[in-house]
Amino acid sequence: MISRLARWLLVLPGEGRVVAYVVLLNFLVGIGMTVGNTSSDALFFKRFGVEYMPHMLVISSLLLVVFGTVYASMADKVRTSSLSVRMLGALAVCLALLWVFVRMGGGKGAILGYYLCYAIVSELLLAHMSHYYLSFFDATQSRRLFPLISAGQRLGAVIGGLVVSAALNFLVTEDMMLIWVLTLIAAVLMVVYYHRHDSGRSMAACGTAGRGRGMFTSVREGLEYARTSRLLQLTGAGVFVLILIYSTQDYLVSTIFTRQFNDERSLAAFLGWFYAAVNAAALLFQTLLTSRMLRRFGMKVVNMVFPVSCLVSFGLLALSPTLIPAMIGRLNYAGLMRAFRHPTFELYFHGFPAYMQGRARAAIVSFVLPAAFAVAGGMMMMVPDKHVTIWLGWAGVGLSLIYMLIKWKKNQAYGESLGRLIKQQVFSPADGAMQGVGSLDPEIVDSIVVSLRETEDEGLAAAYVEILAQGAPGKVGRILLEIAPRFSDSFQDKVLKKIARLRPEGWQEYARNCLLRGDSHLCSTALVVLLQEPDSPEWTLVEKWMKGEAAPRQRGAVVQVILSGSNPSLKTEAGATLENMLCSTNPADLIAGLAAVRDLGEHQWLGAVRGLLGHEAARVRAAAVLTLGSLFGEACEDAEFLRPAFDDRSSRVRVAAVMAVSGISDLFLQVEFLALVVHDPDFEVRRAVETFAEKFEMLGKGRFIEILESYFDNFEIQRLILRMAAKGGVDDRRTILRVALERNLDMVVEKKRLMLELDSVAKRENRAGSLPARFIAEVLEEEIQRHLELGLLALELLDEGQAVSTIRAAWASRSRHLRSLALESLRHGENDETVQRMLLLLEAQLSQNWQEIIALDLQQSWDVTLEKCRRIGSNWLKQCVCELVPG
Amino acid sequence: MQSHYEQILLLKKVPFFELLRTDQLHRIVPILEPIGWAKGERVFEKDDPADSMYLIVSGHIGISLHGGPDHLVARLGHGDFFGEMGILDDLARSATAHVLANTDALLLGKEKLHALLRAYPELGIGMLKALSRRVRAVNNDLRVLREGV
Repeated sequence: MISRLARWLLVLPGEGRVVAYVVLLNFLVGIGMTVGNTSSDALFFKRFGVEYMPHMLVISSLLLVVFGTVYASMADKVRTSSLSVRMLGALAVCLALLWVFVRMGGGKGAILGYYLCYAIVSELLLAHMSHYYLSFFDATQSRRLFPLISAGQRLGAVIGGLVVSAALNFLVTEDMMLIWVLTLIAAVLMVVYYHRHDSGRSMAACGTAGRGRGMFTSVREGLEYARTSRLLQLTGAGVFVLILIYSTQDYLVSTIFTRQFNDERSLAAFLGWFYAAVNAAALLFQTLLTSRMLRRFGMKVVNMVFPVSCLVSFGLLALSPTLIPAMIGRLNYAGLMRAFRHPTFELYFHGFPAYMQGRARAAIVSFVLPAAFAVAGGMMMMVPDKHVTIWLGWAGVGLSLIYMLIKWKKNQAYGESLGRLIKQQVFSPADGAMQGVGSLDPEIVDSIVVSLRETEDEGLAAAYVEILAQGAPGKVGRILLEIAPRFSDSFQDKVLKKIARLRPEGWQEYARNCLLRGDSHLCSTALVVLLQEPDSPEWTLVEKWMKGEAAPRQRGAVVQVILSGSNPSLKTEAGATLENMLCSTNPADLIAGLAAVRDLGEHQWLGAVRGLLGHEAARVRAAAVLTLGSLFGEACEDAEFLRPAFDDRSSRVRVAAVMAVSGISDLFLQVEFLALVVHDPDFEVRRAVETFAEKFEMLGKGRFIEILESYFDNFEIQRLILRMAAKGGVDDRRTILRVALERNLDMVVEKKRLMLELDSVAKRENRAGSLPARFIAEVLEEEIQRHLELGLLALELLDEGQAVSTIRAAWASRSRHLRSLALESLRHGENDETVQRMLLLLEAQLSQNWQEIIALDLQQSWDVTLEKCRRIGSNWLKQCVCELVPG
Repeated sequence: MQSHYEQILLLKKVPFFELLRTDQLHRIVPILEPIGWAKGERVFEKDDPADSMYLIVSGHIGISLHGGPDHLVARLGHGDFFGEMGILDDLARSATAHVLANTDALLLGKEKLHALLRAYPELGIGMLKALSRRVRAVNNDLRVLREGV
């Protein structure tokens, strides 16, 4: 019974205790707030008059600045639970003193204090309690549970309204303060009891965390953050307009109610039952509608409900300022606002970084709220008494339209903010970042040049060079000539080709200086770039170099330049030199010769290269494998010579084999070879397979869908195929990726169903704790996770805006917090049917709540379930089933 | 001793290995050597050369910096690992490991651990997590001691 109720209320196993605590606490707060609201309104309206309401708004705005700032400074120093106890306790003491003051004949001053007390508390306490409740849950839980938590307050408000109506039969209106005090005492006891195990030391630690911060620091930091955060700007603007709407409608409705009832008691009694009815309506909305609407349509739709209802209710009030439109108006700002606006408002705070949420709230409470109340009070004071209802009715219509616009903009800003927030916390390598540099401003170029001249760090220098090469190609050659000699030979080797390509004045002198350096890589690069010039004086020395007076690498470079050039007189000698090098017993000669063959790409050397595939030195074998990859051409028959390299004992050779695969024109054969090493024990080999897709270029005709079908069970290969399909400029890449996405989502559902059936049948046949049941369930869970990750990968590759890349990284992080942010972010975009389906599955996986998505066949037998595992599982699952349950 | 698949499930629950999948653990389990000690034995003593670390399958191990099992600084049980410090920093054992109850464990040699860390970098995260937890515990003890002084 309890579990069915929990399921109906969307409470998942493990959440029951905390949800019950929060709902009960909010229930008590709700009773107190309604008792305070009805009694303070009735006392004030009848003893002072509703026409003083605007003045009260101005006074409350000033008080809010003071109390809001005190709250903000405390919120940073004191733990949320401790601050709750202090706020509730202080309010109880304050109310008790006010009651004593009233009873001692304090008269109007005490009533004024009571009204203002409620006005301040209704803003500060409710904002703080929401913050406190949110601290128990992540973004996804909040979205699911917050309406239920708010419903607790609404239920309290219903009871509070009824309590006021009943209590007024034997108590005077002022005594309602005591009822409020009782609820506050009960709330304090609850919080203290719930947090009884929190250690004093950690409380003290929280207390000292913000020591030394100024009183206004939090508010100032929140306001500074608002300069860069569009979401906070729009949140502030939304709150500002909301206060104007709320105050306007409250004033308008209160004026109509006060005119309708003659004495304080009848007004308080009417307000008591009517507030109870309004809160009951809000409660029904929250429990039956809000959560489900949030799940079905998302925050962006629910966020717009209240602005629309404001527009409608103000429209009615403007057309007919009578009791029924006034009651609808009250239903709007007291019922619908709490049912739809409050839950979503709190959820939008997940769009701020955690450390900024408190500061954002502080800035709103201490700055926006008081300013809005002051403006609202001033605006209402300016309205002529005679036309108050008409003027305010139409003003409300205008404000509602502005509010709708702000909310619409806020939805967009929330999506962007979530994306940025996830990006801060996850690593997702961005492809082609340098391509986006574009042409740089001269000032920026100058500052990069200064940094390049000053830096000693080669990594930084390489990055600056890359940026300049993209952003200011005209300047980079001269600068490189100037700075390169300061750096190591390997750095110079990397930039020499770039310098030769850019040909700044004096580049040949620099290259000749490089020839004199000891590093053989740098010397051979210098030789190659110098010999590119037909009239270079170095040509007179080539015969000497070929005859063995140079290091093997330089000899190889000279041979390669001659053989790829057009000078027939030297070609014969160069060919003979290369042949000698490939027959040498010196590994250095062999490697240099193979490098020359690789650069030449001529098939005539294939025999010699094949002969070196079995050489005893791993580095020679690796060089031979790499060279073989460059000689395949269109024909694939030679590719079979590569196969043994994937079994080579040296990981260096296996990495070379992976790199050589890119030379094969048959996609099927490429994938077949890569599948041989996809589970290689060496990480470097696996990484080479991973990065293969980054360099993938289509050689032959692709048949991705067929290959995807063949390798669907192999997760690593499937991932590789998807990346290759996205990278290779394949015409129908979107179709391929969509097919992969759909199939992976289908498999998530299939495997989850299988997992649940397995669990059910294992329990029924007393196998629940058995090794096969536990192990197969574990493997199925892993496979579900991997299908989801592959689905997200396909989505990322389909997504040209690259928004999904960070979402995928956040999902892969295994952090519950980041995953829920990822879900929120994905949900907030413009999603088609497939993405909606994926969202449902991701959410079910995060909350482990699959009942609504998967219909189970609970009559399956153990054998039939295992047979299904054999049919739809990956090779690993099939192997597990066969070994764990033989036969 | 547990079966191959039971060992995989055991490893899956150990923080050190928790980020690896069952198919990856399937390849790792054969690398680990089963080992056992009777109550009262010592696995190693302070200043012994360090060449392997241990993962406890069942039983209890006590760690002492000085003296016998009466002066323990840590008490380890199912799923905990010990002896990793020496094979990471190449120094001698910094403490003595006492067998408090009959214990079954899995042994991982220094070279094998290094190879595993190269093959599965995720293991490094698990190891850092476990080591951070220990540093945190030591910091807490230190704070308590300072407050006591």
